[in-house]
Amino acid sequence: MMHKVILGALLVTAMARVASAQDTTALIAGDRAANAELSKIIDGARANGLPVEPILAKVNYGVLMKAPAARIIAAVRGTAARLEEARAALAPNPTNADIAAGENALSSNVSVKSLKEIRGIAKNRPMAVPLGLLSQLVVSGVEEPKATKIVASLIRNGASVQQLAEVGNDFSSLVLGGLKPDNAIDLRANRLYAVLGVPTGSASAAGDQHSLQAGPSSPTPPGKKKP
Amino acid sequence: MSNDAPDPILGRAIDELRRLPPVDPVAIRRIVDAAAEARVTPADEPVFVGASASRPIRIWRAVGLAAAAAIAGFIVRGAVATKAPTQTVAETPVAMAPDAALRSVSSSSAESSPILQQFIFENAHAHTVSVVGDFNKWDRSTAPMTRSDDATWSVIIPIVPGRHIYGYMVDDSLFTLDPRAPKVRDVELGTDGSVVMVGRP
Repeated sequence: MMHKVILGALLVTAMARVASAQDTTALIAGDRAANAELSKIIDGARANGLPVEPILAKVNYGVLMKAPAARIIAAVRGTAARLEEARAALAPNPTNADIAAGENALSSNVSVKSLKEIRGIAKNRPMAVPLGLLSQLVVSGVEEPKATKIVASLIRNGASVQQLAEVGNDFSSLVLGGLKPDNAIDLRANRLYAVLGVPTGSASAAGDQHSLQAGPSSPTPPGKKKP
Repeated sequence: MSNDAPDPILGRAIDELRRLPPVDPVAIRRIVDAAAEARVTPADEPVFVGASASRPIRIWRAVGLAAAAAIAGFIVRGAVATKAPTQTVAETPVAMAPDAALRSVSSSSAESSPILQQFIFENAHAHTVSVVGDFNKWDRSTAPMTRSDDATWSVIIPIVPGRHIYGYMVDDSLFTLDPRAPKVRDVELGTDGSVVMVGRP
């Protein structure tokens, strides 16, 4: 019986080591120096209590796109730094998904100030979708203060995660259809305010009302439903 | 007027009856909140390990053996470790483990559990197509798509809510954006990806 236990222990230890190696060994084929550097960054992030999935995803993305090793390393280093920044901005109890969404937002030129503002409003709710919407608005050309104000207002007025996601997808469809980003988000946010029963002219809505242009009806992306 | 022709007065009456009363958003929110509270989280859902009655017992035996092995492993590791004890105590991941576990549990709330998402892509000439994205760490082997008769490729995969970057890998070598989705530039890598927002229905 004892030898079985020892054998099992060795097996578990070996499996754990293999899993750890697979996790930390980067995937740039034939580039030991780059892999060693990447492993150092990943191990450092893990030791710091940061989620490493976004870092590993970045490595794989770079490899898939055949980006040069130096560029991948720089991107991974940037990701690790932003993860740390996002964790601090989303304190006190961000989940790994929150931190990853915060990192994504920071990489989309969303500021730490906006992250903190949305965190303060969303309180203990998951941040992935609100920050995803904010990122999508900013990266599409909506001014950050306005984008933050709208996302904050939608959350404050009880928009669900699904509704926020739909706003993001419909906003993108409107922009793809030719509408200006500012007009697209006004149009889509006002439609959601109507669903939520919030008067769009009231102070509880976005506040900063803009003239709305008549846009095309929002096409629904494949596999999505409108609210 | 024939007997089959609809009576206009009756038609108007039916239309009037079909018209729904105005919906109270507060009531809707209350119902949605109640439903969200009553939702069974993934942690509460029953897990069926296997169909046969004997398999769970074997698995429990295996789990017990693995646990015993792990404990023994730690003992053996401690006995043969060459590092100073202070270094073991100072290992941050071990010290942070309970916190990490709590975070993991809280993140499995209804709003952040995975949602089935369908991807559709049209390509008549492709031999294989798969979805790659940050949700599967850009691994081309995890989400192969199935081709239908009209050259449409599709797959349904679980994705956690949020904003995700993705694309399609055609014939295992050609990365292609989704023509129906907005694209976003990864400035650091110098590449483009498609964007989708996923939220809980």
